[in-house]
Amino acid sequence: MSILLLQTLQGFLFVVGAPLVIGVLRHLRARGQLRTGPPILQAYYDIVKLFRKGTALPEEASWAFRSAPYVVFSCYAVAGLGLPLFASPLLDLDLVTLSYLIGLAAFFTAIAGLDLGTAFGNIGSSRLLFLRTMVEPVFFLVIAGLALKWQTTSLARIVQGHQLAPGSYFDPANLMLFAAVCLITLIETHRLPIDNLETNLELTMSYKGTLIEYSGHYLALFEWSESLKLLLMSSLAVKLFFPIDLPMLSNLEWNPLPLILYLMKLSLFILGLTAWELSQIRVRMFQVVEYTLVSSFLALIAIVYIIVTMYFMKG
Amino acid sequence: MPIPLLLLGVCALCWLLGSGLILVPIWPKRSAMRLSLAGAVLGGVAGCVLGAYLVQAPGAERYAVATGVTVRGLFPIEFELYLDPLAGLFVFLLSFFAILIGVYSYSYLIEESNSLEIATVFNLHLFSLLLVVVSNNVFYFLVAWESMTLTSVYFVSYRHNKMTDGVDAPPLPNLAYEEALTSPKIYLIASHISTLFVLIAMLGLAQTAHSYSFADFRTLGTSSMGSLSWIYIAAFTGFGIKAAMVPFHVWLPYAHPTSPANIHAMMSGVMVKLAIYGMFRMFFEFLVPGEWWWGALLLVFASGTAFLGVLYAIFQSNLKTALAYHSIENIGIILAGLGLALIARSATASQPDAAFVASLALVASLYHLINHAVFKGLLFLCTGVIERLTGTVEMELLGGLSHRFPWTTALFVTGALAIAGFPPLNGFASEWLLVQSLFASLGLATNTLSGAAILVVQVASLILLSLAFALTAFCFCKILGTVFFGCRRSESEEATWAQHEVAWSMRGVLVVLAGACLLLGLYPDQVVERLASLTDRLMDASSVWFATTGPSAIQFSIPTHLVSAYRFDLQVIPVFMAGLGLCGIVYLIVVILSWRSKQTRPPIWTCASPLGSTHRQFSEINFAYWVFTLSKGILNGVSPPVVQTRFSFLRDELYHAPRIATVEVFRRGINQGLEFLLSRCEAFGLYIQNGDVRTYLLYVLGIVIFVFLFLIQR
Repeated sequence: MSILLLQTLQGFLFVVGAPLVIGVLRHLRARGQLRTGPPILQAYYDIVKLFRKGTALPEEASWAFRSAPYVVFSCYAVAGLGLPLFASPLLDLDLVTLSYLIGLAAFFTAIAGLDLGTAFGNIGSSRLLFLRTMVEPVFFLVIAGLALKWQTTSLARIVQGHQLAPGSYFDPANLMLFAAVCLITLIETHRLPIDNLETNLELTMSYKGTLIEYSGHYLALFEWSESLKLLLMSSLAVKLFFPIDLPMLSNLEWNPLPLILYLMKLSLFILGLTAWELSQIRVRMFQVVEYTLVSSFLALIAIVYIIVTMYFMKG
Repeated sequence: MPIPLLLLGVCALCWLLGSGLILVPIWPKRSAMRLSLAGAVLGGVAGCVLGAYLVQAPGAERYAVATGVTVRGLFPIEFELYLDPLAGLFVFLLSFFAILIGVYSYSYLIEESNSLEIATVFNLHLFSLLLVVVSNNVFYFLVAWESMTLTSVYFVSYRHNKMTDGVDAPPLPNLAYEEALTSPKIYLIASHISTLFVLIAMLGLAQTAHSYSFADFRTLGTSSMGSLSWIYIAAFTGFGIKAAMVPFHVWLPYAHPTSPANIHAMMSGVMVKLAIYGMFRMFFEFLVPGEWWWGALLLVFASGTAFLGVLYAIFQSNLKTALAYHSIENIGIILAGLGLALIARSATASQPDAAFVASLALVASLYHLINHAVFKGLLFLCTGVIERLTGTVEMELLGGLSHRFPWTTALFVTGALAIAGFPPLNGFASEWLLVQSLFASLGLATNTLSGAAILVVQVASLILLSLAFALTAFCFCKILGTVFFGCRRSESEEATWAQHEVAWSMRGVLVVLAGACLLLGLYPDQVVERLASLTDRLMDASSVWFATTGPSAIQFSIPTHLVSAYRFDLQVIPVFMAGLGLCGIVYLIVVILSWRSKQTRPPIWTCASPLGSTHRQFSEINFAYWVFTLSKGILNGVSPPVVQTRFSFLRDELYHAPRIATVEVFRRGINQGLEFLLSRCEAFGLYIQNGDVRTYLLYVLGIVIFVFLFLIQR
């Protein structure tokens, strides 16, 4: 199998398989709350239903409102094409570009929330961008730590670096950066202590508030993007720090083992996320700052550790 | 006559003739104004050719045009021109803006009463900017520097002049008038303090080099580093004031918004950058090799500037002022590159590879300088268009412009995306380079006390810069949501807006700038290649640290003392193409999947209010509530913004949200300091000037004795 086909398959699976992750998460969560819960494929049913249902496009909507779903979707999909899931990625993305792509998606979501001038949309945009502002420095600190450790910010090269340095998974710096990325994932994907995606009360919405006027295929795209975002962030967490399974980047042979291992790690991560969410209640907006402070301190300690062990000892 | 000199002569002559038109009585004034602008454009074309030629040129060329004054006892003052790639870059930028603003003003200035004055002073301003860039001598540099300040004071006092002429009634009587009155004064005072410090630095160098020529400064070398630190501090302060670095930035938000919008673009895009040009000359050509704390000091101030600039920008309700604060932020980002380069340069003694990092940081800095000029020019000229279309730049009065003015909206959105640093526009490429050079310079950490101090500074600046990047996106989302999207804020205001977009000549200029934003972002390889040859010469690094690997993909490889080199790739076009392709595919999928479903256009749900959402949408201050609450201490605001529930049914009354009066900590500090100083001076003056004839006779006696002593000593 040629490498290009494999890479395309990887990108395709990322985009198409993303709603499954949301479905699994919701199902597990319902089970944890002793409910039967929706079937695992419910997210797909929802998306298809929304596509077929017909769209109510508000009178006052401008092109920002109409283009936002496409921009957001392709931002996350492009970011997904840069992930080395079980083969080397189609695009050689680096983490700084990735962070800006996520930022672009948030920017367009916020613009869409502001476009109609409804109060709930405005509240949602304001909160969404505030959270994004809180996350960005932490993300940059994590990238700085990784850049210092692996002398690169390219996703594929970091993964390669891990494979050339066995035992790097349980390096304290690696673990601390992983913890920081987990906290970032919670905020970026609107998980429970920060935001509750299942809420029906508009006043408490942050991300969902921006989408309040969307319907039909626009909403379907947003639902899909949301699952892409979850898959993107969780894959990033398991891939950047524990890439146990990747075939060597030059290896052209098809090998099902990396895919299986990746799916196992992802399931573990989702399981952990479910357990975490079950034990949490929503915090106030300003308490998010505490989460970002914790994660930035973790990243800072990791940076200091890396510099002391790698640079001071040798230099 | 060599070609560059000829081009320079044509350029300078066009601008001088353009400014001389005010002396010639041509009637009607409008044709004189157009003739003058044509001079600006023609000179700009010549300057662009010159700049492009110089940037490509292999080395620097010096021309002694005429031997000037030689006063006995002083160093000879010769009029000398210095044309090197760095000067070429700035000449190009300046001339590019001369062309664009010349064309833009052609329609923009028609509605002004004193359009001829503005056009001619604009030409004079261009000429003095050119002289700053090419002069190679302390005397002529300072003369040009001063004339640059004086010509721009005319523009700063523009709104004041307009108000006193009674042509334009101020929209918000008290506040705006007060500001228009004080801004030229504040600008003049700040500029002259800046010139004072620049003068001190230049004279210090002249004293060390025993010459007024920059050529001798360049060969100063490593004679006595200890004594050069005070020159660094003086230059840092002088150029820092002019570049609006944070504790010294107080003049800029006063001065820039009161100038006309077309000139505002020039001042923010080019004039402020000349302070950075001065820093380049000073720090990287004259004061070599420097000490370790120079860069750390600059980096601290730079990242503080970036962060605080954008933080203050968020709480401005005037579009022009908000953009002026964003200029401060971007100056901070540019200076951060300079600071990193200084840090890396001081490390070259122990780690020779640090020169590559320094070169990379300088490339990032220069790249962002160009980018900022382009996207900020776009945003300012858009603001000018908005002012023409609606008659105001108060965000509270605007809203929903996207429905009536789609061109202006699209162009402003392009500028906003560029300044917020989103791919594939140009802000992304330079911010990416800057962040990477910051990472690379973190790797230069050494096991010493100074190394640890630098590390702390670098990590702090990483946090502040990334906060600044995120807050820029926040602020521009706020501006877009308030001004362009959402719905109108007042029906009575909307009735006064223009029916159609502005003239095509103005729109064309904006389209050119937006195109430049896209091209500079899509082809970073071309830009980096040219800039790297320039910075490598400054840094004595050979140009091996980057390679273009296909269109718009660059690979950087910086050797480190670790096992592997620091490597990173920049790929913009693949990401952009993938994004576009995915958008297309998704669109097709959507069309196929929602084939039979129908689309309706209902009105939005407005909670049964008869007024629509005009009264319910956020004001720009409410949008920034979260940021405000967290940064109250820094902002020193007066009252927190609250979402007011007061709104009247059935009356389309303008809804005024409470405004946060952000009294800047620095502005207050400087005010109090000045007040203290002035009151002390006043007391001292009163003490001396006590009005008694005998005291004055005593002074005369003292002076006579002093003069005698002085003569005896000679």
